Amino acid sequence: MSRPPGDDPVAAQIRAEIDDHLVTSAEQLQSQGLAADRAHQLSQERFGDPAVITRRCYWIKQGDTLMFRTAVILLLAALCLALGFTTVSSWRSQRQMAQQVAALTEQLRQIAEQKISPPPVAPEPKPLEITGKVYYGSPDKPAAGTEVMICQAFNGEPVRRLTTEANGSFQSAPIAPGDYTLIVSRGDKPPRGVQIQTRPLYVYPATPHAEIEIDAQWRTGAMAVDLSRPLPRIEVPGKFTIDSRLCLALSSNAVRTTRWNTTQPSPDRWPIFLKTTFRPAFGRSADPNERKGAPHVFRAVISNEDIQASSEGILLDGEPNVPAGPCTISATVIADVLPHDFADVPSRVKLGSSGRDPREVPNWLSTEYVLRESMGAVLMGKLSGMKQPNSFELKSAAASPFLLDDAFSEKITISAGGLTRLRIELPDSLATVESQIQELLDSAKKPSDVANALREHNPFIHRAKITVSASEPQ
Amino acid sequence: MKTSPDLLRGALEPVLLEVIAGGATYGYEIARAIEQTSGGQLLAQEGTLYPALHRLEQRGLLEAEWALSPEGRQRKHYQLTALGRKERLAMRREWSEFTRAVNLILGIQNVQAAW
Repeated sequence: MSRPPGDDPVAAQIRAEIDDHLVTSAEQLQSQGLAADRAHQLSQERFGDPAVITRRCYWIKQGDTLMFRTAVILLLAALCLALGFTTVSSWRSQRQMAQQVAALTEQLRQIAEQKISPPPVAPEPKPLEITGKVYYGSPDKPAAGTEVMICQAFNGEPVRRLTTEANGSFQSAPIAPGDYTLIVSRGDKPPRGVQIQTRPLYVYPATPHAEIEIDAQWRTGAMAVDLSRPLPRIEVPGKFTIDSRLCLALSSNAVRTTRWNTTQPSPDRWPIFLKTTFRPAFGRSADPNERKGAPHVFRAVISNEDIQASSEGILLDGEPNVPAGPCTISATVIADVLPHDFADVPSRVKLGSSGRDPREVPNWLSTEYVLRESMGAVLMGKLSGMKQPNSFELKSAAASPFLLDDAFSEKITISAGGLTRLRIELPDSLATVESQIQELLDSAKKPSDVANALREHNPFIHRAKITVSASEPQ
Repeated sequence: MKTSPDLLRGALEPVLLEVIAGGATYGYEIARAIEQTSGGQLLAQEGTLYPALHRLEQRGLLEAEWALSPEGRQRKHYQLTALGRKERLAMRREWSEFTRAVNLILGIQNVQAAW
């Protein structure tokens, strides 16, 4: 324990207090008869060491100050340590940075001194291209000189036209990345105008090369029909003629009327055939099925004579063959009445010719007539006082909608390269078609009578049942 | 026989509070009062009073003031503070329970509280 400082007021007060004690004690002893020296000596002995007592008291008094000082000292020490640590850390960081700068400088110097070869150049990306081969039936029958159009898949618009080499191959040369589809013309191969569209091809840097083989073979089969009984034809001289036709409508998902693009549902098979240029000019609403993405419909309107003359196959759309494979077909028998004062004339006869009786019907019950007019139109024209068929008020008797009605359709399969023979059962209602039409003629005195009667019962349209009776190799 | 310093260390502070409460105010007077009351048993050396007095002062149990003695010397006088008075009573109870327990253990019968 250190000695209290001599000039410390606390220590001085302690000394004064102790001195008072010692002097008082000595005075008391002297008053009891002890000599002054002995009294002071005894007083000291009874008190103990005044210096020790003074120091103990001093440090008791300085306890708070001491604690404060200690805290300050500890705080200062901690600050000094922190400062020292920070200084050392900063010094180490600076030294490391200096070392790194030196190393970098050395690397730069080495780079500058050396003739460092430039970084390897990334290889040129492979050009995007489409290659392929077109053939008929098998790869050993190349389609030489065939036009191949590369079209954008999202809208079908062509972006490049190519011609196949002698071996049927083609190469697009570099093209932009994108989704494509190919349209292949079949040249002079029958049927004319039919094109082929391929599945979509995705050409992008990750898949720079699209290759495709295209079989342009138009796989078809012939179709013959047998009727359960002849189509009705009744001629009542001086009154009217009733005649009928068998209407066939066949569609295949493999043959479409317009190019496919990505806005349309994908076909159930690829490639698809496009039959867009051989539509018969049937006039207004002749082909209501001509809508985007719809299958092409092959149609035929045939008579008893046509059936008898086509034992090897009937013509649909003027073609002897129809697409092979699954298809949908409908058979509808239409009947019509030609009043005796109207004449069935070839279409070259001009209606309303001066000096002649104008009551003429051009090509009555021909394919064009059936698809253009409504059955009963001649009768309606007669009642309307017209000199030509009047289909305007007989929309319900038009044949075309019935040809495309799913309720009138059957699913069949056309044998590729063979003859598919169909058995068509004419409905019983056709047996009485004469009496049905006769009843209409007797009851209808004005056009509205016909229209109203047809709403109740239409004697002009009859559904027939189709079954495949045989598939014969051609 | 003088009391050993170890025993005195625990008893000195309640003794001082009691003596000061009894009227002694300064060091020598306090020492005389202890000596006379205890028959000279408690204090081996009078100087040992002062560290205890200063501790009690530091704890706020005593307050002191300087005044001139009849002989003309500066003298420090102590008196109990309110806290000191309260602590004195608590120390009395505590000491009484302590000595009773010790006496029971030591087999000393019929011991009454000291205060």
